[in-house]
Amino acid sequence: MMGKNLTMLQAITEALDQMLGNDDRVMILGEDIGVNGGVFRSTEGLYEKYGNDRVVDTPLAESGIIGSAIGLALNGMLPIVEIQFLAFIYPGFEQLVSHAARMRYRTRGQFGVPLVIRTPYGAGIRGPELHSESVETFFAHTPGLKVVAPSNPYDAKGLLISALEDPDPVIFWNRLNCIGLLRKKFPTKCTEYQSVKQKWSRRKRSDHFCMGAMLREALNATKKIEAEKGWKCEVVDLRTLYPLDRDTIVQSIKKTGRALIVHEAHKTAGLGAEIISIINDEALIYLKAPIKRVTGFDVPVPPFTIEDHYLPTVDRVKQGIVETISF
Amino acid sequence: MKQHLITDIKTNKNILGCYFMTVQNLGKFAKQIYLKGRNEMEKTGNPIMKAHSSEVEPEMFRVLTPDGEIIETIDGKIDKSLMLKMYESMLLLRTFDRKSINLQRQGRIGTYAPFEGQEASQAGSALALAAGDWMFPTYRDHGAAIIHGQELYRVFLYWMAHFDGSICPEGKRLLPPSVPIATQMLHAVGTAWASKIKGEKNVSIAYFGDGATSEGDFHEALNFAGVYKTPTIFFCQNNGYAISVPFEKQSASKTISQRAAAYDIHGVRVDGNDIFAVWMTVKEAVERALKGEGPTLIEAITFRYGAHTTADNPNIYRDQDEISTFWRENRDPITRLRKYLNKEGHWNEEQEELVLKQFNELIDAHLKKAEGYPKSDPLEMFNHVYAEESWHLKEQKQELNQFLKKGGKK
Amino acid sequence: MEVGTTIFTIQEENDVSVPDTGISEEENQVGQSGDVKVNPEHITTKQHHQAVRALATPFVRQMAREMKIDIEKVKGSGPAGRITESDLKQFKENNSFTRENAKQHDDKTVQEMAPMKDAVLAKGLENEREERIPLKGIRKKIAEHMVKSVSTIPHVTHVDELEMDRLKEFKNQLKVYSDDKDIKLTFLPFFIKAIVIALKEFKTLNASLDERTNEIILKNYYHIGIATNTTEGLIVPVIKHADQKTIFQLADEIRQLAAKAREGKLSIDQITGSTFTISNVGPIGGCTRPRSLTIRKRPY
Repeated sequence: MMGKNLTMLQAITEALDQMLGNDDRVMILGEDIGVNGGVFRSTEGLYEKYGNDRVVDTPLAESGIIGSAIGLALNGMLPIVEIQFLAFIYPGFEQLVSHAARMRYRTRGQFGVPLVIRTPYGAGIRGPELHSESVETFFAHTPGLKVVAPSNPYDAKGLLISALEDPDPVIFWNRLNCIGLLRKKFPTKCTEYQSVKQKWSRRKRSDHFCMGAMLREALNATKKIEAEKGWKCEVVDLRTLYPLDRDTIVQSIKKTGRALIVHEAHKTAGLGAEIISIINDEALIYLKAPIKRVTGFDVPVPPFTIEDHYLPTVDRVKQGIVETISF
Repeated sequence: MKQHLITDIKTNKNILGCYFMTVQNLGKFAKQIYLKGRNEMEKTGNPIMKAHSSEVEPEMFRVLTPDGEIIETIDGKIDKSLMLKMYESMLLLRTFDRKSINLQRQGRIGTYAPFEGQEASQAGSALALAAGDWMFPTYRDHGAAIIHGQELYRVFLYWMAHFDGSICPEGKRLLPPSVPIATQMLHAVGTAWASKIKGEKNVSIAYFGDGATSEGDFHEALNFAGVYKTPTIFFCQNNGYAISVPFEKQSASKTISQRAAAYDIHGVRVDGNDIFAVWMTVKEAVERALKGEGPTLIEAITFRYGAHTTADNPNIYRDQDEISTFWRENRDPITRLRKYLNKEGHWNEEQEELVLKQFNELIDAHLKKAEGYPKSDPLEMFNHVYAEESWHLKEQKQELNQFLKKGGKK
Repeated sequence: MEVGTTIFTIQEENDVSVPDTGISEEENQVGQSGDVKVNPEHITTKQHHQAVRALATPFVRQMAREMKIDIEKVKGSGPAGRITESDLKQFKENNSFTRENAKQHDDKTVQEMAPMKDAVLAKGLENEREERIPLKGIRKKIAEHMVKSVSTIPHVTHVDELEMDRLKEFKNQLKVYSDDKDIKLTFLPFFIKAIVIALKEFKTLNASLDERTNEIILKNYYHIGIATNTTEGLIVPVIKHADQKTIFQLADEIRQLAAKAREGKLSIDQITGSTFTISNVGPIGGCTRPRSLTIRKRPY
C-alpha cells in the first residue's frame, strides 16, 4: 500500500489511465472527454497520453455513443463510455436495455457486450435541471445489466477496474458531490482491487444500508447518534446495486434486527423496496422494527435552491435511526 | 381523399397512378403523373421506379432492365457462375419464403415476416460480402442472413420461437435480427470501427428499411460512421412502406440516398430488384470501405409483395392486388434475371425444375430438423443472462425446477 | 326509527328473557357461575380482549417461540400494547411462580375446565387464563350478521326511563290469576302489548325497507321477536300476531318459545318473520345498550 491521497475523481482517472495502459483494447468514448478532459475532468491528461483513437471525443449523441460502443465491444474492444450526467443517458436507454443487456442472452452466449457505462449521478452540486438524477432502478430492473455505485475513491477505482474486467455490461455510477472525497493510503496498482467484485464494504457498527454517496450522510448521522444517545449503528455500503449482495444484507439484519435504508433516488419502487423484500424473504423473524426508508421524495429533483430538502440529509437520517431504534 | 384518388385512377385504368398517389395529389395531378410515367414506359420500356415517393423518379443505378437487357458493363465483375449463383440464391429464398408463410398458416411456425419481392436486394448484397464480414439484419432480412451463411433450420427455429434460432454458425459474424428499428445500424458502426482499429479487412453491413430512416439512430449511425470513416455499409431496402405508412409520409426527402450528402458519406440509389446492380453497388462499397474511404449509404428500391408480417393485412392501407401484380409483372427480380439467362442460354426449364426440386427437398429437410429439434427446456431461460450466473438467477432457476419436479404446470 | 330499534329496556331480576348478543355475554356467564350452566364445549373465557391477536414484532414472536411462551397470553407494555422482549422475560418469571401454585388450585374450577385443563396448567397462569374456540356455525353467523348490520344500516339509539310503579302494582294484581293458570308472569307481555298499541299508532315503526324498489313496507300485522340467549348464541323466537293475544297467552308463549330456544327445537317458522324485536338486558342489570338492526334478504 502506498501512502497516497486521492480524490474520487483522481481515483477514477488513475483507474482509466492504468486500464488504457494495460490493455490496447480499452478505449474511452464520450462527450468532451478528449482535449477538454471531461466536464468533471475525470479523463484529464489521458487524451494527451493515449491519443485521439483511444480517448475519443464523440459526436453529441448518447444513443450513438452507446450503440457504437456495443458494436466495438462485439468486435473485441473494451469500450468505456462516459455519459456526462445520468439524465443524459436516456437517449441511449434503448441501446442499453434492448441490446447491451440482451445480446449475450439472444445469442446464447455467442456474443457478449463487455461494456462499461460510467456516469455521475445525484443532486447536491447545485446543477441545472436534469443534472441531478438518481434513477438506478431503471437499470437495476434490467436483467443482463450490472449496476455498481462506489461511495469512496478506493471502491471507485476497484469497481471501475472490476467493471471493465466483467464480460457483461456494467453501469458505473459515481455521485457528483463525492468527486472530491479523499482517501488516504491509496494503493496504486490495479491488482490490488481484484477482490471487490460484487462485495460491499462494511463498517463494524449497526443497522443501516445506504447506497453510493449516501454513505457520507449515513456515517455522519450514525456518528451523531452515537454521541448523543450512545447507540451504535452498523452501516452497510451497497456497492453493487444489481445484482444485490443478499448475504451481507441478511447477515446484518440477523445481527441487528433493524434496518434503515438510505438512498437519494425516489422512494416508490426504489431499490430500498427491493432490499426490504429480500429481508422479508430471508430474515423476517429477526425483525424488531419495521424497516424505514429515508430517500428522495417521489417528485422530480427540484431546483437546487431547495434540492437539499429533497435529499436525505444527516438530520433526516438521524431521525430515521431514532424512529427505527425506539420503535 | 386517398380512396377517391384510387377510384379516379382506376376509372382511368391508371395502373401506375396508384404508386404516385399522395394525400396531397389530386386526381388531375395524379393523371398527369400517370401520363408522364406511361410516356416514359413507352419510351424506354421501363416503368418509372416509383413505388414510393415523389412524382419524378430520381435516378438510380441499374444494370439489368426488367426486360432482361444489360445496360451497364459487367465484364470482369459478374461471370456466368456468379450469375447462376445469384439466380439460384433468389430462387432458394423465394421458395423458403413461400414455404414459411404456408407453415405459419398451418400453425407450425409463429408470426412470420415475408420478404418476397426483395430477393435481389438481400441475395445481391449478401453475395457481395466476404465470409468474415459482420452482418446486422432485421427481422425481414433472413434472406440475406441465409445467403451469408445462416442455416435454414435455424431460421425456422427463430420463427418457431426457439432460443437456438438466434445462433449463427460457428465463426460467423451474423447477429440475430434486430427488432427495434434502426438500432442495429450503430452496432455495425461499432464493429466496423473495431475492425478498422484492429486493421482487419472486414466490413460491417446493416440492413434496414425506409421507415428506419426516420429514427434517430439512423442519423446517429450515419454521422458516427462519417466521423470515424468506419467500413460500414448501410443497406436500406426501400420497399415503399413502413408497415402501412408510405415513404412520402415518412419524409419530405425525395430519396433516402441523398441523406448521405448531409453527412458527407457516399450515397447510392440502386434498383433493388436488379441483382446485378445491387451486387455491384455493395461490392464497390466494400472496396471503398476497405480502402479506408469510409461508409456507404445504399438505397435499394424494391417492394415486398406481401404483408408486413403474417399478422398484417395490407389491403387496409394499399391497393394490394394491383400494386403487387404490377411489381410482379414488371419488376420482379427473379423474372428479369431468368429472361437474361434464358437469352444467354445459361438457363432452361429443366434446370429450373431440377433446382426447385432440390430446394424443396433441402427446405423440407431443414424443416424436419427444426421440427425435430429438442424443445427448449424451461430452465434454459435462466442461462446466458450473464456470463456468470448470479445468485438470484440460480435461485429462481432452482425455484422453477422444484416447481416442475413436483408436477407444477405452466 | 326502524324495525329492531330499542325503544326502552326492562330491568327486573327474574325476567324470562335473557340477554342477547353473540360474544360478550359469555364473559358474564362465566362470571355468574351457578345459575347459568356452562357447557364446557362452548366455554369462552376472555380475560383480556383488547386485541384479537397479540402485537409483537417478528423478532419477539420468534423469541417467544424459543422460550416456549404462548405470546397471546403475554400482556404487552410497549406502545399500543405491543409485547416487548422484556415483557417476555417478565412473563417467564411470573410463569415459573404461578406454576408452583397451580397444584393447589380449586379442583372444581379445574374440573369445569376439563377439556383444556392440560393446556391451562401448561400455561400455568390462572389470572391470564384464556382459551380458543373456533368461530363457526350459528355464532359465526351471528357475528357476521351483526357486523353487517352495524355497517350497512344507520342506527339510532334513544334512551328513556319510565315510571313502573303502577305497572308493577297491576302485575301483582294479576299474579293471583296467573298463578292459577300456572303461568309465570313477567313484565315482558305487558311491553309487548304496549308496543303493539304504539306500533298501530306509528305505522312506520312496524315497517321494513325494500331496497330493490325503494319502498317502505308498512305492516298491519304484529309479529314480535323476543331476543333470547341460548348457549348457541342469540336466537329471536317470534310471537306471531301478538296484537291478537292476551297478556297470559303472551306470557305462556314466551315461556314455551324460550324453552324451545334453549333446547334448540325451534322451527324456522318460529324464528322468522318478526316485524319488531324486543330485547331485554334486565337480568344483567344496566340501563340500556345499543342495538343492531336486522337485515332481511327480502321484505316480509
